[in-house]
Amino acid sequence: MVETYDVILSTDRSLMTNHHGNEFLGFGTTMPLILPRKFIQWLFAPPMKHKKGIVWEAPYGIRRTEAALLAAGIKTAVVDPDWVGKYLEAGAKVLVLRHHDWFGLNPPTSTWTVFIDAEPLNVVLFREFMENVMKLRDRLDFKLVVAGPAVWQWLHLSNKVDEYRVDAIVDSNGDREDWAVVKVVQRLLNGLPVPKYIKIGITDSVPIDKIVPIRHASVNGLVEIGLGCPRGCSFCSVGGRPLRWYPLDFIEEEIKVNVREGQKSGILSATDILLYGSSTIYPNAEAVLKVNRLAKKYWECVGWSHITIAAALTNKKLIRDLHDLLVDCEKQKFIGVEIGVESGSVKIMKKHMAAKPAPFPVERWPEVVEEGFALLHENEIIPASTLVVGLPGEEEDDVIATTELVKRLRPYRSLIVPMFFVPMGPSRLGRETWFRKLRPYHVDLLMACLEHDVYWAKNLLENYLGGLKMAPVKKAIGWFVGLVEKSMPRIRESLMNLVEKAMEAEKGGAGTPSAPQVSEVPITQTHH
Amino acid sequence: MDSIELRVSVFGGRREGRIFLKGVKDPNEIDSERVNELVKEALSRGCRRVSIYVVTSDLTAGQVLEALRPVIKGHIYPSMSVWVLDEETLKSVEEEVNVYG
Repeated sequence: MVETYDVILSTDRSLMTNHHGNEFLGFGTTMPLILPRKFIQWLFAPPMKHKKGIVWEAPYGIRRTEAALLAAGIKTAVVDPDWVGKYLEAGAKVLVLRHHDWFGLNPPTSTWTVFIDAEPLNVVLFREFMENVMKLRDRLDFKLVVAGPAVWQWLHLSNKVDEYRVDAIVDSNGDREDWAVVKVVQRLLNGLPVPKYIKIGITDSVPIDKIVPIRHASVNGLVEIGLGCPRGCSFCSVGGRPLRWYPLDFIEEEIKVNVREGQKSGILSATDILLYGSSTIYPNAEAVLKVNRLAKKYWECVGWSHITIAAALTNKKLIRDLHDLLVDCEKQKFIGVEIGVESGSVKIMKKHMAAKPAPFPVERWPEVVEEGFALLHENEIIPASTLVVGLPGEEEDDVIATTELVKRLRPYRSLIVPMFFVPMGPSRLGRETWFRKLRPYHVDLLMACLEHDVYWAKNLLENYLGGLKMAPVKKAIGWFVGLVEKSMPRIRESLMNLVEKAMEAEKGGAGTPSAPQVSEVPITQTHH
Repeated sequence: MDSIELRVSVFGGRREGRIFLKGVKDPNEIDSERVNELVKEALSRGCRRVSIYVVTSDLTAGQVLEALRPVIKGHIYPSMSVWVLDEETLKSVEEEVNVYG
């Protein structure tokens, strides 16, 4: 028997996992099942440690919602996906699910599906999870709420709202929606009607002092230090939200929660860690050092979720100081972070993200990126950087400029991940359609990224992915990287064939095969 | 559809636009462009929250959300909610229902 809760929170295995303690391996859950599923799932989404279904770690967003529900006096628990049935049978009245890619419509999942005709692991895991929830729905009386940053995907697969009998959809719209979830859950528990869809507007962005600290450990010790972003890029879901920073004592409390529950390392999360404590695009060096010093006091390794190249370059001394503070060569050999490079084209930068290079002139963006990568390389900061391919208005010259930039970045330790444009709900480009018109010059860009990544992946595996526990994972990834390296000519040939076929189909008026024009939804969704 | 109407209410000093689509029997009756116009009008009248009430006994929630997708995805600034309910339930939400946190 398990304890009875009013509300349980959960998600599928692609998120209820710690990816072997390595956040970057989480990207692997978006991979199509081109290798045996058991192998891919073991490698990227191993099961979560739990006690009678109550998980040890949970995705940070789920922990936030849990904290808000508990603060409102609602008896709540975060439950492993394999245990959801037991807790519903024990009397839970509301099941709240959070996800950041329900149907595989977000990047990078939707990027894979353009050229690989196989379902991605995360799509399969969510579908199977929901099939199980539906069986429970047939015999138990409970309400179903879906929430988070990607619920706009339900608008594109609105038949799933009926099929899965969703009671309410709460859209964070690029911010935090926890208090709206609390209000919806309270109404459901009291038998009152609720809206089918709720979206939190910018004027209702939650003030920091209304947010309560998480109560239990988050996946890989991730702790949010701020919300919002000042740069306002057109394709981004956070752009336009006001910049807000959590005070140090709040951050310390969340770090302590993680340490108390066994997290030895952690990740500081914000759209730009280097802007902590700043209300402009210039770092407040003292505040950034303070928050990192605080993290290092408790953790062996401190990772960052995101920084911007422009902020790094405005204060090179700060980057060197952060290196000296965090990289101690014993426990921590590097600092991992995600960075948006997005494009090598000045035209595209001007059109969609003119403020991203600020305070540097947008015309200098490619040089700024190169200089920034050199600075990070010197300071053992390893970026997993992303490109956005297929933004509205993109032409051949823009893609070629990006390919040239990728080639110039070869000397710098990094990974570069191309992602096809997705019209995410809360972004200014939310009314556009998915990018699908692949051309030969796109293949050149994809191959340049792949060559860069294979080159550096081997180095990273050798020098940075350590520990006895990680040995089998390291071996498996090493094998996979070797396989990709050997297959490079074949991959290029296949991609070129696919592009040619798509172009022929377009000429014949059939449209790109992987872009059903009626539903505007990528091909993965036609599979189920 | 029997009617479509915008009402501006003031709840706790905050202006909220409430759009009522009554007697909807077919998804094609939901004119997203018209609803969009009403959302814009609500915004121009100082509303930062817009609630859309689709009063129907014939449509599923999925059908309503599909029809209103251009409205929901088209506005990033206001808080917004979409209710799918029958006449009887509508009466129970006539007063302010703050679900925005």
